[in-house]
Amino acid sequence: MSEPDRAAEEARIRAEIGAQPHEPLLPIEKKLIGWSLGTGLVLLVVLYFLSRSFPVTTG
Amino acid sequence: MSQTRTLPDAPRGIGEDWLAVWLGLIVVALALASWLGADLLGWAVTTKVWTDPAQALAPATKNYAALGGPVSLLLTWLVLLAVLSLGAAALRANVGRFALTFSVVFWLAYASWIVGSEANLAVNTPADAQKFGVSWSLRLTNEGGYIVALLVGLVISNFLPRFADWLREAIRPELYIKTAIVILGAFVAVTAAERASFAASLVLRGVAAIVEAYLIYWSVVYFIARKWFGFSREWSAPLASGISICGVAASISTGGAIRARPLVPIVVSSLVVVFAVVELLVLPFLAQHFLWREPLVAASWIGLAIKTDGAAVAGGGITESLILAKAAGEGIHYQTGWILGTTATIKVFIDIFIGVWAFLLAWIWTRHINPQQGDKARAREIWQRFPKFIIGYVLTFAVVLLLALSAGPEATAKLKGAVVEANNFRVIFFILTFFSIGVLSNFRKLWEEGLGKLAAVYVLSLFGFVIWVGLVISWIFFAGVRPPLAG
Repeated sequence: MSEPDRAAEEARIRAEIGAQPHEPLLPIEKKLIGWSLGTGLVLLVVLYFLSRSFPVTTG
Repeated sequence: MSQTRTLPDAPRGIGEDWLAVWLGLIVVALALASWLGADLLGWAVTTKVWTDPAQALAPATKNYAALGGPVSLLLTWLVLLAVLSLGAAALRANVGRFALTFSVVFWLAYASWIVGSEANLAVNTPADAQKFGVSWSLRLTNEGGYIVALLVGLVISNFLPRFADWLREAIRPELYIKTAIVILGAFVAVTAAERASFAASLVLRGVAAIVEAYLIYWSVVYFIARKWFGFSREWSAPLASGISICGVAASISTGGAIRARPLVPIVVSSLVVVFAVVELLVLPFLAQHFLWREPLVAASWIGLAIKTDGAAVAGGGITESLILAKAAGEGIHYQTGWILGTTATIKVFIDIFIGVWAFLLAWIWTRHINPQQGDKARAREIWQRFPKFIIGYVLTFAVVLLLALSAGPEATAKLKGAVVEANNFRVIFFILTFFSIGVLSNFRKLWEEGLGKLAAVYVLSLFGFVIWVGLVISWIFFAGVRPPLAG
């Protein structure tokens, strides 16, 4: 793609930002968000207790 | 897209990641030669805090003292010009144009570093103020030159856009910071070797960073983009990756994974540098003021909150310098390297999983959201999207760590000296990174047509969520964990 074509394409793509078609959240997206967040929070708790089980030594 | 965007490499070039690996490995290998008795990098220029400009520059080692500072600086420019021009050829870039623009970039950036080392800018303790005979100082430490380089770049980008555009062949912050990170692996290794179990416990805490970036940040930002701002899936996924994981690289990997149009992730990530610069100018100073008693909380926070490799690792360098200076003023002398090393390691940990996350998204998109005949997510995409410069970081870290752990005290001292020589080049690549980030950051972009809504997502996500959750997580895992004391 030549530079002028690329610039024109970019301008078209930027213009899309203000006029996005409505896309409701699909069940799979809700699962992705829910499972990611849930797993992340659980893992953080696990890692926290692991880090407390292995206290830091400066040696 | 910014007029000053870096140029994409031609398809048959080796790519900036692999070039960074080679450049970094060459620097570390040459530095290690001094461990064996041959000083191959001692001619490189170093800069110290100065009141008399004639005393600012000097060669890195006494073996080359006869050269003097100015000749050393000239040699450094010539060698970097030659090596990086070869690198530009390997990238299939315009070598002549690169050589010319790199020369301008180098001299502007290094001049900024010299200015930043002037005593009235750099000195940060009363004892040093007395030693240099200055009655006031901005207390930026001798790494304040990074901020000067960044500011000079910002002035060029925002007030001299045609000059900024002219420089773009050599404005490659990703190449410079990745080369610096590969070199940094050696420095982190020699630091970690002295306190191996401490380093190991930091690694465990660093794993929390991966969990936070991918599972917590990404899901929340994706939800905000989709539900609150009404972005489509094609836009929201690269946006979530850019804000949560790592700016440009993560956006483009994600865009490819979900089969987005190629320009969508590029437009999405065009604002990342602008916001990273704002964070870079603010967060290290906030960290110094509020977190100097918890240096590793600060280190982790910078790694989690700033979302490009260049700005995050460079931010770690500035934060270390500011916090060590503040602590020293209170009589606490921490060992150097732990803050920067922690920030870099956290950022590298986050980068490692870009390919894995992209593969997961590709699997979800090709099976559930937008299945197309014959289009399946393939495991080899994990390797294709893996940031290759991490291989260099791991190599330099592993080799130097092995050497350090197996050497006796005398040999280890020589090894540290060798790594310091490599570190000089790490500093130079940091300077080039800061300057380049500045040149790429045109704040007028925020008002460009169509980007206001994107900017709003960035503002809400970064300043409303990512920064504060990053601080909380850093506090939970690193509070009370302090770097070893020097001496």
